Amino acid sequence: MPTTIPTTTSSTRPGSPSAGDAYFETDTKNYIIYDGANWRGYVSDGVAGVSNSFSGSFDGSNDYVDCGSISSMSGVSAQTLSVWFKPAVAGEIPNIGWWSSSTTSYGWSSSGSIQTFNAKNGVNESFDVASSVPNDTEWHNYVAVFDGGSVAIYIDGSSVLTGTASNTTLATSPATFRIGQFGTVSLYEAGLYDEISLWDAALDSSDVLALYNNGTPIDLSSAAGGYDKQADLTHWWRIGDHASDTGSGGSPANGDTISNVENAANSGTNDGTGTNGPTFSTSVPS
Amino acid sequence: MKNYVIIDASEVSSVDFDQVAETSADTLRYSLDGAKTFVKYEGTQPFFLLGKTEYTHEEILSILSGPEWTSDEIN
Repeated sequence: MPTTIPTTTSSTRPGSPSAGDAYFETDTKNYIIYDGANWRGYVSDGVAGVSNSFSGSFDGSNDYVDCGSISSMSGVSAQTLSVWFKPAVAGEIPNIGWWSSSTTSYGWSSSGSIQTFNAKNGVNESFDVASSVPNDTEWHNYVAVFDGGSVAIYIDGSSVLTGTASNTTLATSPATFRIGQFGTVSLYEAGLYDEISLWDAALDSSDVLALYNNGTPIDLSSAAGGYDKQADLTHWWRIGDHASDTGSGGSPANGDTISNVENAANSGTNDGTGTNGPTFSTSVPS
Repeated sequence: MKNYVIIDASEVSSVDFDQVAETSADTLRYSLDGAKTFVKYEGTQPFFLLGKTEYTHEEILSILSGPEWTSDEIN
């Protein structure tokens, strides 16, 4: 016979608890027990992660996955990009997105000490995150939210930057979107990339915290934890973990060259093509 | 472990793309002035590259981060 734990929220905890009272907090997903003087919190380990066996390994010299032009982000007022990245060099961020000119681009770009998120539409401005980038070579989750000109940047579920762009919409006619390279310019970044996703909506902090899930990617096609934007998911490149992803040996295998990585959110639209030798890796965020 | 070799742009026509990791001549990365490019491979150096200097991954990334290959003004 299972025991049903009573629920509360972090803002409506009982005012006069007795020692031993225990609750499940529905907003934080934590278990709390009153010890007679204080509430003791037991932090959730997160929800079960999505099945994930492969990531993509890029050498940072000239390899990338080409996903074509993403028409769904043309001129939109809301867009979110999430990427899991394990840099080859400590303190680096991914190079991923599209670029038409110095005033028209979208995505993460890394060039020396300049590490920015770009949502440019006619003005050469970007959002510098260099001071917030973890100085290690571990997996991290980078999320950028564009919402009518407001920009919010999260690393590993935590807000690291908020700002306002001059433009309230993204540029029209986006150029080809690439993973491992910032569009078509000579900016590449070595490391492992995984579970790259786009929404035509602005994810909120609860969504983003749920995406991070204590370091384990979740199934983006269904609600989990505080994430409920599954209906707005337009692109999800799982890099070896979608049924139709292929490598040089057929089905993905560690070290094989990436041939094709499908958009798991909408197969046949913006499927990615491995170019110049990126390979599958069995190192994944977990 | 991949090896990298820098070649002149004029030598691209001699590259056998079945023996290097690059996909085609159209996807090569060129120096900013367009005069040089490079290819990478694993194992034995392809015949058409014999005699050319091989670089390690670390060495080529150092070269590519220089002003000949990467512009500070791109961002």
